[in-house]
Amino acid sequence: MQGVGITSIGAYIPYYFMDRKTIGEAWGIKGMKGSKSIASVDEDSVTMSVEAALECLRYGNRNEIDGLYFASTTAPYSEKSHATLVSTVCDLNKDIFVADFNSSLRCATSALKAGYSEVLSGNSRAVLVTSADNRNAYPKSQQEQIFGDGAAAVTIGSKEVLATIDHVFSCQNEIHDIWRNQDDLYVRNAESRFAIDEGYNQSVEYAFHKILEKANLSVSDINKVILPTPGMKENIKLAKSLGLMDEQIQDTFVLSIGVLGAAQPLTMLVDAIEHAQVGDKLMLISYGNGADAFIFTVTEHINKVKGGNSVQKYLDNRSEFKEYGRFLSYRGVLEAVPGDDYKIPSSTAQTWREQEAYLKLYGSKCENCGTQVFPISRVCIHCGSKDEFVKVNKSEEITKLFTYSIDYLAGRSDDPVIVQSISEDANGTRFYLNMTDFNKEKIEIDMELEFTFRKMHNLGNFVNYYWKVRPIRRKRV
Amino acid sequence: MKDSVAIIGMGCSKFGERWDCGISDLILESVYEAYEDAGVGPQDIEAVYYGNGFANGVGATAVSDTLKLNGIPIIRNENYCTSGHIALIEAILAVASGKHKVVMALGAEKLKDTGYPGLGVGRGMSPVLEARRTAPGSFALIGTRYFHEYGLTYDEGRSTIGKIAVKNHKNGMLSPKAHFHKEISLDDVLNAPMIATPLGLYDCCGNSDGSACAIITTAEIARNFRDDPIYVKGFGTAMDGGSPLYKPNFSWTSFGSLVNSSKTAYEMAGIKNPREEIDLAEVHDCFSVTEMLIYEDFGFSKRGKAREDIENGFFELDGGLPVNTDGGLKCFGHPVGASGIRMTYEIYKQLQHKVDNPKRQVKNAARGLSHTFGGPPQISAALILGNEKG
Repeated sequence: MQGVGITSIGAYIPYYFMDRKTIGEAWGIKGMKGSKSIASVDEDSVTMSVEAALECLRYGNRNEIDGLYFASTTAPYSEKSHATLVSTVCDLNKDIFVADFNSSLRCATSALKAGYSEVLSGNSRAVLVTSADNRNAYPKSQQEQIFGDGAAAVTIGSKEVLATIDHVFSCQNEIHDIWRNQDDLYVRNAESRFAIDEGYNQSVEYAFHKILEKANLSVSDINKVILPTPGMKENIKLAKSLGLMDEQIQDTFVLSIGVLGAAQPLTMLVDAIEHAQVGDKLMLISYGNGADAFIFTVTEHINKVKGGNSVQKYLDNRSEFKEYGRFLSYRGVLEAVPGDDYKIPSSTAQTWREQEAYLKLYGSKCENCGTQVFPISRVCIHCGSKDEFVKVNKSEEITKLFTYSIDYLAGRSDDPVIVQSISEDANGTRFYLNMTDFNKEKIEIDMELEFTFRKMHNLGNFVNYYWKVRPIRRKRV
Repeated sequence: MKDSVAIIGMGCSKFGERWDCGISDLILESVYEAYEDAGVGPQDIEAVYYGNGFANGVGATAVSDTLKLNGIPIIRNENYCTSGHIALIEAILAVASGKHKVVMALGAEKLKDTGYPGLGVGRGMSPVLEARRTAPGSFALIGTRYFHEYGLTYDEGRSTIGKIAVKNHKNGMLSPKAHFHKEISLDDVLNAPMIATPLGLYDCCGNSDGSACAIITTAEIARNFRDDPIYVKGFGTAMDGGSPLYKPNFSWTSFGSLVNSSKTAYEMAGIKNPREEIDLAEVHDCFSVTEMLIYEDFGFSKRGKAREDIENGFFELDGGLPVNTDGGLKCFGHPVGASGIRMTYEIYKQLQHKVDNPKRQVKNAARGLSHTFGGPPQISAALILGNEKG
């Protein structure tokens, strides 16, 4: 065995960002530098983690994934598995081990470490870890300007490893520095110098020295240190005090996307791997009431993803969100006037029964005449044969817009504009879906679209997810 | 089937925002007008075919409870916007079958109790597949593709369909029972708030309360009731197999249900050239673009040439084939289950030369067509009437 490590990577940054000055202006205070990425009204930690997970799966073999771990501090359900939802949307096998990692800011690295152990033990061939967060901070607080939304995922395995995991170290540190009580909408903080000194700095510094000692390496042996940060530059201050040079410090993207909570460590790791050279040593230390530390060695397989620039590519294609009031409404902070949602509650049984369409975007291909349709049709619309079809996963197809309407009154009151669209994939399959993340001025017939998994509504007192189309945004494999 | 069934009485309530009326009041308004018009009473009615789209889970009890009709079949039909028309066609078939002599077709809808200013956001049979699909957003898909297919710019396309809205508003001014009485200009249409591109406010029909009723009997005995019964010449109903939303190769510029329902009706009526042989039509102008589509699918205009006919005023009240003489769904209003019978009411009165405002009477009208179209859209019903046998 060549060693266990990261075998594929994926990141996701939402289409919208808000300039920090917009928030400052809303409150008559100084806005900080840069911008924060914000999840749209149809996104949450599940949908964003799906984006990152699917990115990972585009490199690897879905059938070898024996485990999926979902990590987030902002999971939509307090009681119900999210990992099953994400693994179903990703069309993973039924007989795999799925687990939710919640609450802690280092839940993604807890999952990473658990996945590493799982693969190392031989119980699983590969484990997909996907993390996402969209945390709320108190309106007007500094954190409100700092926090951003996003997702990142990695697969851990032992075949064609991009970066082997060579050493791990963890420590714990019980402290109330950053926390949310069960019903809190906003993150709470202890007095900042206490929180940073006795929380973040103490644990990260401890783990840094411990893992170096364990690996028998010195500071200069590490090419890149990945230090997620709780604020704008706490990582830089700490890194300097640890004796790291500028070029050894991995960019946090805090200036352009903000602090991504549980998704920050893997987002930074993805970028670090994509920019590494063969043989580089990477160190990741993630903080959250203690720390998880890892040392990786980059392998020759890095060329597969080198220059992928996953995060930057999303940053190159996004749109400024200027309406602070609407942002607060999206986050559930302000209650906008109720809209005209269709009031029939969703059926849990129907949602379960039809998950191949709703969650996997399965269509069918007639075995008699070859006609492909969405959703699955038991009687072929072309030749009329009954129950002679194979199911086809459509979620990775690219479609072309056939016709559309920019519908100004179809959405919620805080998001009224819905683009109704009919598009067609290369097999002639037609889809009626809402378009999301669009620029109204640039919608035209024949434009290319990709599928994206989104939140539709909460009728029935649960989150109703489904697919939408959007103008091409993710990189093409 | 042609000329074997006749309409001997009709009624139509005032359409509009009838805040002070429940569905029972609306039903009474049209039914008692129809009783009087036909010279019949409740004791003569052997069966009722009732079109209603939105009062679900209550069957046809609004009819029996209101009219106190006892011990007879009352059958409700819900088929989107064709609910009324199909109820009417089923009533015609019931008479033609010989089972009944005198039956009632009734359509009624109380939309303004739903709290929606427009037809609501639908969702079809799934919580998510069509969660944000709206009526304007669905029919707008026709417009975008039609403009693309026939090389019209967005502005040219909007002006073309806008003229249909202007025409129907002009006709509605002459229609006392219509919901809206407001003459509008093309500029008004083009500058109105956008609803769902390319449809602005005036491209969309009214969302109204209303009811309409027809009393039907055999052609054989129709003259026992009145001197000017109106004869059923032909009808056709067609639902497309598979939603247009997901149908491979679907053009969005022509609908099989429109073509098939009109073809069936024309064949039954012996019509070869509808453009020449029909004197007036009431067609489903839920949105201005729908009316344009129907011109072509019904053979009123050549494929891709509806625009020329619109520009030339062919469908105006004084044109070669006046369409929606009472203001259409656009101005008369669109209480879904009532609309098909309301449109037939206009044809019936026109063919008797007895419209309530002589200014919109189509001279020498002898043969007319009424039509509705519903669903995502997917279902169409057409009915052809004449004022003489043969």
